[in-house]
Amino acid sequence: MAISISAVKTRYGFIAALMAGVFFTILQFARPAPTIADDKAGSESALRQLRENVRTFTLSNGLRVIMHRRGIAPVFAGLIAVRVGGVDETPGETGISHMLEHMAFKGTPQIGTKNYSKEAPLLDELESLAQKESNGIKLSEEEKERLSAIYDELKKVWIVGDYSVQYERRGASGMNATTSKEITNYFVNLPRSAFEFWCWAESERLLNPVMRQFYQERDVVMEERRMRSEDDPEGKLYEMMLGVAYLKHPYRNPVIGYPEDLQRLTATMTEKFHRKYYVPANMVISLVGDVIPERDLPFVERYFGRIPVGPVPPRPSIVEGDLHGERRINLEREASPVITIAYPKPNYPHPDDAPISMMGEILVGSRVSPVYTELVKKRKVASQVDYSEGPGVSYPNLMFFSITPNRPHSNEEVLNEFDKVIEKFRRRVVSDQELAIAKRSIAMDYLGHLQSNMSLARDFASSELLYSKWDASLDWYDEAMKVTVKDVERVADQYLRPNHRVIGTISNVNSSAKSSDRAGASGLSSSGES
Amino acid sequence: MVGEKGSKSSVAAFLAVVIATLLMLSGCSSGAAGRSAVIPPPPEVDLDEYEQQAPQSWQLANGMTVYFLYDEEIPILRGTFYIPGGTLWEPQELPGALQVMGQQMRQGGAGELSADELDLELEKLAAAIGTEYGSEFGTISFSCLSSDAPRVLSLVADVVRNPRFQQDRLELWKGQAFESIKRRRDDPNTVASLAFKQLVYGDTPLGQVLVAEDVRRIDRIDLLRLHRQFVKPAGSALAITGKISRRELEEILEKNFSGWGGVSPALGELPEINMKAEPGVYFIQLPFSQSTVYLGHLGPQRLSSDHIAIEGFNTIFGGGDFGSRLMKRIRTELGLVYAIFGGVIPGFPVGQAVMVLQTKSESTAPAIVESLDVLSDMKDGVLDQAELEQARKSIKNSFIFRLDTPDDLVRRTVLLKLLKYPKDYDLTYLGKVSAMTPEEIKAVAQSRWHPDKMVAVVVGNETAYNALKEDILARPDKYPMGGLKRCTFDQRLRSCS
Repeated sequence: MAISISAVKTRYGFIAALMAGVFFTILQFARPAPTIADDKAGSESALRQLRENVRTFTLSNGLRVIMHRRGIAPVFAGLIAVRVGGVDETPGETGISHMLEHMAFKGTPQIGTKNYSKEAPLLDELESLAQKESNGIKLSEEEKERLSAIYDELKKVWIVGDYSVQYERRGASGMNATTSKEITNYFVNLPRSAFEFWCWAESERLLNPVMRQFYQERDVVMEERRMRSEDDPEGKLYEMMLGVAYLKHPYRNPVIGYPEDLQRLTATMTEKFHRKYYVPANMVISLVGDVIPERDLPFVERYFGRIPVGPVPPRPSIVEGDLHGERRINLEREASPVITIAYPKPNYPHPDDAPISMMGEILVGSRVSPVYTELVKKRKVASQVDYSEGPGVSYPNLMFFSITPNRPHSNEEVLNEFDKVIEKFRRRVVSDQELAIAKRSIAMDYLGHLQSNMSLARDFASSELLYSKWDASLDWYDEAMKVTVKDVERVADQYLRPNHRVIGTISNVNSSAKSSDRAGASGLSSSGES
Repeated sequence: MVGEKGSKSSVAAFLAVVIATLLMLSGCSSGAAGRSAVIPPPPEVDLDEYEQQAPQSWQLANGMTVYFLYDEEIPILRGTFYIPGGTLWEPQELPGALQVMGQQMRQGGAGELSADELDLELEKLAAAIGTEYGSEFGTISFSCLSSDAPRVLSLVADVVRNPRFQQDRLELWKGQAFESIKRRRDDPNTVASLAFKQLVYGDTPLGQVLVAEDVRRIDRIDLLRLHRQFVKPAGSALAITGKISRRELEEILEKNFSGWGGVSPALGELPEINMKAEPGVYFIQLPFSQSTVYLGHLGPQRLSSDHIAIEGFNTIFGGGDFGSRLMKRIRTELGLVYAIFGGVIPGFPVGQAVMVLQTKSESTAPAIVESLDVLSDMKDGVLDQAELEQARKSIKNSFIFRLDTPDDLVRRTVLLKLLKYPKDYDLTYLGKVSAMTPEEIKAVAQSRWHPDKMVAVVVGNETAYNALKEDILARPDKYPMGGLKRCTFDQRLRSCS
């Protein structure tokens, strides 16, 4: 599944989301996968120390700041989280929070331009022409010429890439931003020497991002959309499944936006969106690494304190109704078969959230888990099984079981085998050993994430932003460690209902053409490649 | 020495809170006053020298070296064990066998434990062991709770010394491999990168792309034989960090590894790697809305005389983030791509010079031509001091991120050793970066890139093919690698015409 997991519950949905980011790294030099669990006393003391050492402050304008000193080198992770994302978008403007995230890399009146007073009127004129075009009005020949002349003028004052260049020369590493259903994150690792610069540059763009190169960037986002959704069968399937799982709730819309909406976005709309959502009380600053409040906080106040106060925009309160049965959707594509089964679940802080994640870990999380053992090792109908939660963290969401069928087995066969495992699991007793293995695995992941400045920074910021509690993930972890066998049995019975789920499949166009027993209107392909 | 850190930092943290609380009070008044004032950028500051921890190191009698850094932050132990020798030296008649052997060391059971028992044991401990063989060495990485170190390191030793290579697990792996080979066509980047690898490295271990037939041919007997031949202690190195005392670690390692002996294999001659593929545009038609393009050719060996200038070149050309010329031109100014990269990637015994991009079908031709133009500008255009200074600073100031965690630091120490970097490499590195000149960077552009010898792999749809064909006909001078060929991709790149 194209779900990139971040922050808190590493493998689980706590802060998991389909992320659309500003930058994509093609060459990734992978590190060996971290894992591991709990030396009871040792891990408890590590977590206690964390609670004791983290410091929180509120600036004069209401902006919250979280600081945690750790690590062996004079570096820090700086992250700004804004409580805005896909769920805040109204119909017709999907993709706008992500578009704004991209625009935040274009600079400010002080960054990215040789002469802002010359640039600003040109941008205004360009915008009036661009708005016309976005409204479907054809530009006259004269206007077209003027547009091209404006671009020529602008190119003379623009310093392309300046925002990033200034960061890079100060040693920035892993600078990026992501937008999810609920949060937009801006983050970078820097040497300690660049701390004041970070305060300046970040506050600059939160305060006054300039919408330069907006229409070129809209094309860049269209390319990103092609890569993540149009050309990635599983990305496309995920988007389609959300569209049938949610009929009313904004979780149904892709964070990256529908192509028709993207084509209509303008700089003016995006600026308005920025003014509404980028207010101090709607943001959190998170700093982890070589940071010391007595030394560093005055800089934070000096630069970020200038962001003007504004009202916290309300979040939508739309309640998605019951599924009323099983919903199926199929992606017809010349691609290998895939089946994903999604069950609705409540979200944190609902008390069932932790037991459900524990159940997911028991069912799929290890090489000794029932779904893996039965489908991959014994029956060999699948080559891979995955569990994740999404698409967001603030509203009731879904648990996803994604399965890669092994040829010649069809999606339908895989589903039959999967259902057998789930039905058996719901009827039987969960063993103490199964629960213990799952807990240790979650504990190990959790401990592992304490070793990364960035991972901690993201965790604190998301927790504070969504639950007004920087240590909400620690609370979640405590809850998870208290889950009992009875809890798991109860949530299995309550949430893994066969007539209460969404099933998404990918079927191969070529092979289904040959197959006579298609599953018909339900759209579930019964064909496999032989 | 390291153990004292904790107490000091908690005192500092306590003081910090007291002082910071006071600061906050004053902050309130000043913040409200000067809010929307324009503040100019702060002065530029470079990172001062800082004291870096050094791993401890010792050798076992059998030739295995240990590099250890104590880290008490959380009770986890992490290790990576490197064993020299890799697919570069594997038997030619059995492609892929060494990779499979590496993977099956962990999967097929070890010592007293069957595969299922080993899985269960590791799950109970919440420990992880991963094994693999790359082109130059094998790696065994592991992690566990510090308190489980004795047990987990004995399991690591079994995986290394006594893997069982159970037949049923080999079969399970084969089934998964067949499936993933068939799924290659679902992902344009997989198709393009594999085809590029084949064309550049040809019929050598580096150009190897396994197909079902290769997988089918591998037997358990081969795995046993390769294990006997390759997995030896001499020259091996273990990088390890965590909350464990050196004395305890030494004891555990002595107990589990000292009896492990054997002579390291004479690795034999390195294969000769020349690019045999004809230059040209190799088109693979698949129904994607974006074209995925890889273009380039062979590149230099690691530590070539111009290796520092190569880093400078990459930063300026297309290896950095948004600040690189490719990013600025092709993405920011033209809006043609979301993802683009270009750079010289040194390797062993050879590397590659490669540009990678993805763009909508309609803009396939302009994206390629514009990217090549950015490259020719690196060769012939102006490279001013400011741009060079930018690259120098960016490399110098970000250097610290190569060793900012205990795990990074200790693994880097081992890798530099294993890859035979000079002893003072890191110490002299920043000085060399400062000394880099524009001429040296231009020389990289001129000597390491040859557009007329490039292969350009393009994976895209019919629209992309037609547009590209038309553009090549219209302005052949823009495509110095020459003509357009259509290729088929079935598990791997097949025929081209």
